[in-house]
Amino acid sequence: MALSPRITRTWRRATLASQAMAVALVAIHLPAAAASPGRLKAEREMVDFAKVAQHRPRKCAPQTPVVAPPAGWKQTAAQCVWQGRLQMRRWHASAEAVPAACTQPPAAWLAWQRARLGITSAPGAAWHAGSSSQYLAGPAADGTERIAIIERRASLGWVATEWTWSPSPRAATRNWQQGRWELLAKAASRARTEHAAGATPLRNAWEKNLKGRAAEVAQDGWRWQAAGACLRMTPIVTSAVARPLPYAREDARLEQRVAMQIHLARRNPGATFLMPFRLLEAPAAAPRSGAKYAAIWTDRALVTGQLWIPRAGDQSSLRAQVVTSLPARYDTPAGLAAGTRALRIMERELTGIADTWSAEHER
Amino acid sequence: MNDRMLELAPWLFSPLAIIGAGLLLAQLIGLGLASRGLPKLYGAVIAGLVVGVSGLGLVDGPLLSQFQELFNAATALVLFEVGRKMDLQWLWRSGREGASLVLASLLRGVASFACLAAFGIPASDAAFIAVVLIAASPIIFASMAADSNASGVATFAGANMVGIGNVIALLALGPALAWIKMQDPASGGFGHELGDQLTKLALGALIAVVCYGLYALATRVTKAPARQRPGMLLAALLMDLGLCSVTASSALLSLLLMGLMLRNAEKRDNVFQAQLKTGQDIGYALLFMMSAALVEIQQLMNPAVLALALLVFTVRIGVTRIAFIGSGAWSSRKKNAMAVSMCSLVSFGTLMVDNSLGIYSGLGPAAAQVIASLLALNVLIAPALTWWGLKIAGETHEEEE
Repeated sequence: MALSPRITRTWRRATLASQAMAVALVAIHLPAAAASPGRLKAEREMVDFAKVAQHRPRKCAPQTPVVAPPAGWKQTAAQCVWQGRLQMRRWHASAEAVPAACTQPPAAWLAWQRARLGITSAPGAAWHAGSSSQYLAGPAADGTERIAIIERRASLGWVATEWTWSPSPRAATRNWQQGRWELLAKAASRARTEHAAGATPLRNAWEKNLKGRAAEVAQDGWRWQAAGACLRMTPIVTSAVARPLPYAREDARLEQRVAMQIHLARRNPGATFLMPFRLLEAPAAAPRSGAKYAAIWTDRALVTGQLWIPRAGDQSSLRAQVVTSLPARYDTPAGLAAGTRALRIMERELTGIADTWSAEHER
Repeated sequence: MNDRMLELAPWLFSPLAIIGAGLLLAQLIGLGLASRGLPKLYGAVIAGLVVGVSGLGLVDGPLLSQFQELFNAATALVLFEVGRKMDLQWLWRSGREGASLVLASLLRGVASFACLAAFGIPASDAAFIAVVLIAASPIIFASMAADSNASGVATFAGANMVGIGNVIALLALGPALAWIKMQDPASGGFGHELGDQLTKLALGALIAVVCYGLYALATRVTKAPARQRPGMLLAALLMDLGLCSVTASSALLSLLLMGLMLRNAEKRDNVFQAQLKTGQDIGYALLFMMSAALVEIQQLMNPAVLALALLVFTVRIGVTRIAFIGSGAWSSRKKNAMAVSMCSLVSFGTLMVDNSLGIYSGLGPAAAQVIASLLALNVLIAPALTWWGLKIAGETHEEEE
């Protein structure tokens, strides 16, 4: 059956219109659908992998080990050059990362990556809330080298990238690779952010006590997660006149502790003292260290712990508060159990920080 | 102000030093008052007001909470003395006099309940407060009698009424507490709650018998002279209070019973009494100072609550006097004197011999306010009225000291 030319024209117009609509629909959906790789390239990379490596990156061989990312992060497919001797892995902070979480996704990544690189030095263990990037590098397992950066991108949020190089056994190739690797390190190190200025000895002791846990130096204090509880520590600016808390353990008296307990009870009239003001035991590692004191109390749904570190000589004592929140229904059996748990966690953390201080400064 | 003072003077920082300074001030003011013929223990009341929450704020709840065991021990020493002054044989044989003391105690409870309920305090709360109001304060009566060296028929009858009133209050507290607790959905019912309260009384009595037995055995075995016995007694009293407190059984009943049992054993021993007196005097001063330190004068300024508290105070004195009408053994002056000297009241904490309890926390806000006002008045004016009562009975011998 032959169609008249008029009908054919109309049919063609309709087809064209539907095709145009389909294209438009695809165009509308495209930004969302092509989330990562396409857009990633569109934004300026800190390290142009292909250019530095002088090879076109390809998907790594199937036998390349899969690395489980830290909580809240998702990995994209690893890319390889130099017959798999240089690998690039990339992670994105997953969309589920909640804004009200204890620490932001970079804190978890930093703790995880430091453990991967075997970095244990105290300053730098915690993520700084104001930072938009960071750089880590060091030797990894089996003679490999590793560089890792994290950066915040306007459209994608947090992106973490890691390059692992296992040097070639052939000397000439290895030397050439070394040169390229150094170029890569130079480009990546632009992500480095220094935070040495704000580091106080107390913050160093806190960071040392983290022992690989995710933590963050935020505006409102130093946050970290301990056994499921989100803790926040804030140093207290010492008043001009020091309370007579002795540094020497042999000078510590019950009367002083009673006086401090009374002082605390007056300052916090609604508080229930879970751990009244007491002298902490000297750690086994530093038996002759100075006296340190702590108290823990709850006031409604807030658990507060305070640590006192008197210092030898004329220096004023250091004080810091740690707080954590209980469930809103703090007076139910579940809330009371949470209070007991928080007490145990808080006591362990305060003692840990005090012991770290003793070992670092008073041994 | 408190913080500023602590910063300026670190030596004020020591709680023991503050208590010591308060005690010294109490003695200084007390001696000044005594030389003008006024009760010496008001020195402790004034000192307490000066250093307490209404004054300098050096002695307050948080500070006193650190010394509660000390105050409890002082209370034990005083309560035991009240038991020692009780004479059950006389109560039983005196007939109308004994009955009038029991009637006075019961009437005080009933009249207080009527007053409180009339002013809109919830019935269960009013019943609880009324039960506590049956008792006159053993501490205030014993201290004022000791302070003015009072002795005579009115003092004797008064001491017996204090004892019997406290025991009746304790017995009535069982049903009153059971009534309050019964309203809790988790409660096992009135009978169950009452059974619990009665068990506490029985256990208190048992502990008294055991501790007295130990004391009697120790003095018998060692043939201890009178001079040594107060030390042993103190040890037995501490054991009694400690065991009663940990088992939440009735320490008041237990301590009164200890006193009653010792009444015959240590009746004629002047050395024994003289030795105890010093300890008791310090105990009185400590307790008066502590109570005054916690009085918040501002709280008394609520006119409606203050008026109700004053009314209850007056009604209690009135009904006590009415109950004595039937007795023929006392002159009307002695009856007036006794009614006035029985004006003091106890706190829930005193009945439980635990100063940390203070006001029973199960009460509603209105009832708590009334009882706080009553207790403040009790600290400020009851000792003076008690002393005045003893004075008008003509049984004080201050000059003879």
